[in-house]
Amino acid sequence: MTQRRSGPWSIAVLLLILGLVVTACTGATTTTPQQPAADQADPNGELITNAGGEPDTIDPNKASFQSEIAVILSVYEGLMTLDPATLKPMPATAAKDPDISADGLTWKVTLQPGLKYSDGSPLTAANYAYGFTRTCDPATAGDYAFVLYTIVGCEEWNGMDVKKATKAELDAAKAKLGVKANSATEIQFTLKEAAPYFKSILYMWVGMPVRESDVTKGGDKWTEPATYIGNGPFKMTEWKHNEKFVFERNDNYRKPAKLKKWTRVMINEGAVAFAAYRNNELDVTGVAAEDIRTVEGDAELKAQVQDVGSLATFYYGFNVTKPPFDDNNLRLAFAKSFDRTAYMRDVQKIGKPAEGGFIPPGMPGYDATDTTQKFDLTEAKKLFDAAKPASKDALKGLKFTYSSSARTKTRVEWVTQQWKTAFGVDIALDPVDRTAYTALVKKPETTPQLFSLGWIADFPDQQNWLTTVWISKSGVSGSRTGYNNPEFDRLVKAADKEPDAKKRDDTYLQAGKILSKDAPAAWIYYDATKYLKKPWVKGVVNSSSDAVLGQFKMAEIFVTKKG
Amino acid sequence: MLVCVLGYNSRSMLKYTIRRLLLMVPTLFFVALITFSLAHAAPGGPFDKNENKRLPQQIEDNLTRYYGLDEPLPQQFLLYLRNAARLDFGTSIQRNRSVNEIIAQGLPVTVQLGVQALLLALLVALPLGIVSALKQNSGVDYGSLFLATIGTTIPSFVIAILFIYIFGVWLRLLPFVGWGDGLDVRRMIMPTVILALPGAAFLTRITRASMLEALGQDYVRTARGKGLREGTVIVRHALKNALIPVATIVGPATAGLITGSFIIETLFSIPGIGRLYIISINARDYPIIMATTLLYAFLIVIANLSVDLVYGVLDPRIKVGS
Repeated sequence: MTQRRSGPWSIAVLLLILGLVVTACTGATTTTPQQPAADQADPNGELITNAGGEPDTIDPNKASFQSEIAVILSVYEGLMTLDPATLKPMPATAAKDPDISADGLTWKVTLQPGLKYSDGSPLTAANYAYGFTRTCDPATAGDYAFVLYTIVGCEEWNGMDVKKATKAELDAAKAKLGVKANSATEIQFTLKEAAPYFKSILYMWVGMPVRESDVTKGGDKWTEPATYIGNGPFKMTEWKHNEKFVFERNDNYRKPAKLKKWTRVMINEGAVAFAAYRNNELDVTGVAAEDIRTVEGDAELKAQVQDVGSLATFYYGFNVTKPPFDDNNLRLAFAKSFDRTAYMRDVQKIGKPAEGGFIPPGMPGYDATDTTQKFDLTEAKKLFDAAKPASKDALKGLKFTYSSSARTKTRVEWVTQQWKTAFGVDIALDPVDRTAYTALVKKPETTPQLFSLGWIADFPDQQNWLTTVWISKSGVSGSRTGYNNPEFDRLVKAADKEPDAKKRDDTYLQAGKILSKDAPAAWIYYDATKYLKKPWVKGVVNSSSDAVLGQFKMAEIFVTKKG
Repeated sequence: MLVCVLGYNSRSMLKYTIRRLLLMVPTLFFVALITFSLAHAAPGGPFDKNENKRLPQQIEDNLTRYYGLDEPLPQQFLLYLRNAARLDFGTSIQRNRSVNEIIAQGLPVTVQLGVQALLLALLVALPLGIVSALKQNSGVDYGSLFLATIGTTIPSFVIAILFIYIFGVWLRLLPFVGWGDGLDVRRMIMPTVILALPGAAFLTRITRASMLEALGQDYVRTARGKGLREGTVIVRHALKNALIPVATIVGPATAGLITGSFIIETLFSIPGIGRLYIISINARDYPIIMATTLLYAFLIVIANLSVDLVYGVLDPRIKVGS
């Protein structure tokens, strides 16, 4: 077999590949078509965004995730809504704020007159009562029923076993539920105890006017377009599973939306969504930390960036029931020994360093004066020295457990490096598959010594942050970390019930400062969202609680006439 | 119909087919048993969806009871088998829809993608492999070697992203999101080509190698010596034997195409079951995991059976069924 000279051949081929790769990597220039200067809303305007992936369920009484809430809030509207800027609850289909009895236990909500579903049929208080009731129904098995447990009878009924309990028992429990339609326009809620935060809960998807006839007619498939009839700004006209949603303007909405059509495709891969955006196949797309360099380097893209806060705080959690982190000084030392600003600048890139306690800015209860955990290496070292020797000994062999992913690894490596520099402590990385990690951090027996988590608001009230998360034994993170401070518990329980708004806020602030000082966790950063939006999409009002673009003012979004 | 084509040996081949199909039942049983055990052995469960949004314990208990996940495992398994025998594969825990319906929606897409990729791979690899063998060390030969190396070494997701940027964003020739309704040719080109690439690369090499081996055999020299036309020598004599190793590969390759389409489906947002499978494993959605694994096992058994039957056609000396 003769040896063929392959020299020039292979070099030519190599150059060809190199050329292709370089062209692709330097990024194609985005050619956005020329737009007329006019801000004229196109009455037949169509918006195309990315829903991300197929939601598990869009049943309002079962849903819990952003992708699900995005659909529900487009098609349905609750009694209340939130002001996008302050996140304070405001009447939506309610005619005014709820009438609350003096003891805070009886709430009456009056509906506006003339409300309709998208198919023209009238919407009454009975529809809302049905929606709330269905969320508490054990047969629905919804993830978010707990949020209504403050209503009389909801927790008891929801906890029954539908397979074992008799129909009579279930009906009896249902009859005790504190949700009643007093008339066509008045709904009444009876609460177990005074709960000022219930007003915020009234905006949530669990209290949507799901229509009984739709559920009966559609059965398991009632969330398909034919029976998914709501009273919100849009109606769902198409749902191609795993592919896309199509929404169209609901002409029977209180104030008809400016958009005629809104298509949401389901692109899972961020990189592909980004490419689709540059190809003008998407009008809006998210920006991940990895894309920032490309975006900043392109003048056109840079001008299209939108920054929004997000109601989430991420933290490093400690298991306070055993050494080394049973020592408060050691915990606080760890909390004060890493530079959050540098972290955000070099690693996380999107969001703000947590320099004001657990509650993030944008939420009621944000405390900019809470500097207890601020980065201070000298102070941190002093605290470290003051810690118990037994706890410090237990630092040997310390492991940092986290949900395994390449991105998280970089972040964890950064902070373990900081702690090594500050205290000379070697911390081993312990990545775990995501689902397994979720299982681990659920129970106090299995909570790792050092772990990383976040908390995302259910509704914008301090109760959902301080009490729900940190109260001892039953709090989401209070239980897993083993945090137990009777003074903190006393303060938050009192604040939960306090009718006087100012006193309530102050009590929560006090509790928040105690929490930061006890440091069952070290606050890292407050999350934010960065996204790109084409110049022809206007009228978007962002809020830090958005599960979908312009969530609280979806009807205001419009696209200008394409040139 | 298959029997008529096979002619010679047809009765024993029929008996062989039936025996293989019956053997499928215990095979699937063991697949089910192993999958069930592994799925439940993995730490975490279907309600551990998001580490940052933990479900309250009471809700989780309610849900666990609701889906029958609190019953002892053997009992759950037997209940599953009983239902599966009636082709009732349950309800997806994650998606709240019937498993049969979810798979019925995704399967045709994945099968279409897989079959298209397989046909494309064969259409490219067989001629290329044959010509490379015939014209050994020529430009075509080195060209096919080059393409084969790219196809087997560069991971498909790298090629996919490259293609998306070149043909999708830069040249704007091809759309790259979704599958359309299965008739949108422009939309299907990229995913099909990229899925076919590793298979085509491998098949080209195998075809070339086995063709070279067949061409070196004595009977080919005899055929040429007899004075037969070159075309007849190649097609009627060398090719049939050369294709036997290729047929061996095609069976598992088909199964691999259907099961391995996950990356392509994810990148191009194609609503098939490859992507569904991986998502369900991470979500510990036991009904979908079980049903999809059983489906794959079934497809692989059928694919292997078909290959064995094709042997009988290619080489009558192979007595399938004895």
